[in-house]
Amino acid sequence: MTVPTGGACGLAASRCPACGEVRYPAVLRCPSCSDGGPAPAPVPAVLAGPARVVAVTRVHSDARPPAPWALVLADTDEGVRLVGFASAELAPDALGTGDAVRIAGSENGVPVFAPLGAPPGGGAGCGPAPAGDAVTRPWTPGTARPQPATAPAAPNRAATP
Amino acid sequence: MTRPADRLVVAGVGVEPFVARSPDPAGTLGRRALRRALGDAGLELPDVGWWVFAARFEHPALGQRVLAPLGPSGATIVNTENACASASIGFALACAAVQAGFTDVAAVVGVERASALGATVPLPDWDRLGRAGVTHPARYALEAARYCAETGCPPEALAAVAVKNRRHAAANPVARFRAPVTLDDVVGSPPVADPLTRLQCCANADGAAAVIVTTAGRAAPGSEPVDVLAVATGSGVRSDRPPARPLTARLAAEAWERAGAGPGDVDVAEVYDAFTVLEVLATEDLGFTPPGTAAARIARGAFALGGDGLVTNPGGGLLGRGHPLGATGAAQLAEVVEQLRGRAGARQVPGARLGAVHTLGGNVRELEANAAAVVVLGR
Repeated sequence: MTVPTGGACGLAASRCPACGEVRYPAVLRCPSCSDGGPAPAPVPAVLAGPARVVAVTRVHSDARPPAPWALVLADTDEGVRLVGFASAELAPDALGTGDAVRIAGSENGVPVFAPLGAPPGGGAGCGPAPAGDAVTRPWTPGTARPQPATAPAAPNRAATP
Repeated sequence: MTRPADRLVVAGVGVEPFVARSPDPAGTLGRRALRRALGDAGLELPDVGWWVFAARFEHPALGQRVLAPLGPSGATIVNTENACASASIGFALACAAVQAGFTDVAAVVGVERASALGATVPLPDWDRLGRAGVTHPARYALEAARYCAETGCPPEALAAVAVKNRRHAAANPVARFRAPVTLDDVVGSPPVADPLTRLQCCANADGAAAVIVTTAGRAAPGSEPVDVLAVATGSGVRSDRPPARPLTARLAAEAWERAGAGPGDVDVAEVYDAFTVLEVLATEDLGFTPPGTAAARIARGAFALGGDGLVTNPGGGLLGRGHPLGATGAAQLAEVVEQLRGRAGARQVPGARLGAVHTLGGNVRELEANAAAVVVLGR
């Protein structure tokens, strides 16, 4: 098989038909069924979340201006541990350990998290990117990340459970 | 019980001092470290029948380039890359070559001019996270944040690792950083990725280090060989599900069993500390202290020179010595060898008889690490 490149929000996960284990990025062979001889090939799966934040760091690096920005470690309900970004309109300290989040979008395969229950628009979403959206608009590595045309909204702390 | 003459030993070590920026090319640095190590072993260039050269970013055919001006003997040259664990994996190859009978003397030479990289080590642009602007410190800061969230450890406890290692480096003539720092210095240094500040991230350096491996019977009269009691190497499993046991813990279990010793027997260890949090995690995974206790213990002064227990990173670690990526593993080995010989001067761990070296290398973000090694040495 080939590695699927689609998936919701660009997160092309896989699921093992034998044990049900979900992996992201997708695997060609289930690591958990590898001891028992031939195992069925994993099939493409949608990594849907929700997820629980394990840890957050504010990164003071211009690699993604404006600094600081948040890098988030989160475990999805499927048991997948993800490294991703906080949604662009959130303050870098808006998310914290234990917060429930959803996968609101993705950037080149890196998930973008928003608080679970945040109103639509709280993240990039998984459909076609709205014009000027900073999270899903393609950008060239090594260049400045595209910025929202309008000023970022105030951090949506109230939406954090 | 007499010990067999064909047991593996480190016969010689040599380190070309680690500096911010060397005017010399990689070949010169490598030859200087090699000359020191051969002199230390009492051996000559033609004695070496198998070469391993380790680097992360250096020129292809590094080994051939280092040896060409010396009139190489025609012996096998292997050039290896395994991220920051390049030289430690290279050491395993050298041990394997001697044990397999490919040669009776093998040499590992690690070389890197990391100053060419600038202030950071870039993640490759084929890496999903690297392409999106995620840096090494950011990724490890996330582990630091996770550790603090899970253990309740205050960020200052992580900073204490840098204070300890910089204090140790002050007594190490090959270290890039010879000035000690205070906890306030470390906590107050510019933030990199919370909770890691600049002084909690190792700095790139230029340098080289070499290790000569042979058998006890082949070691030169008058040299001071140190026994290789165990070498355990491996690579990481996928990181998209937290592994039941981290790579370092898996290798440590293997190494202690092979060495016939346990973590409680170790007097001195060089532990991979590219970032303060990595020393904390490794100290626990190696079994030196129970999970969740390393940072708090280091903050209270444990594992430091002058105490009465195990000393970690007496040579300053990567935080104090600087990090010429390909040379680091060989420098860690050299430090523990000198400690076990009682030749470490002002940073000597008194009476050290059993030592360990731990190196981790990673940049493939789908994996918990690219490679790691745990080596147990003794006399």
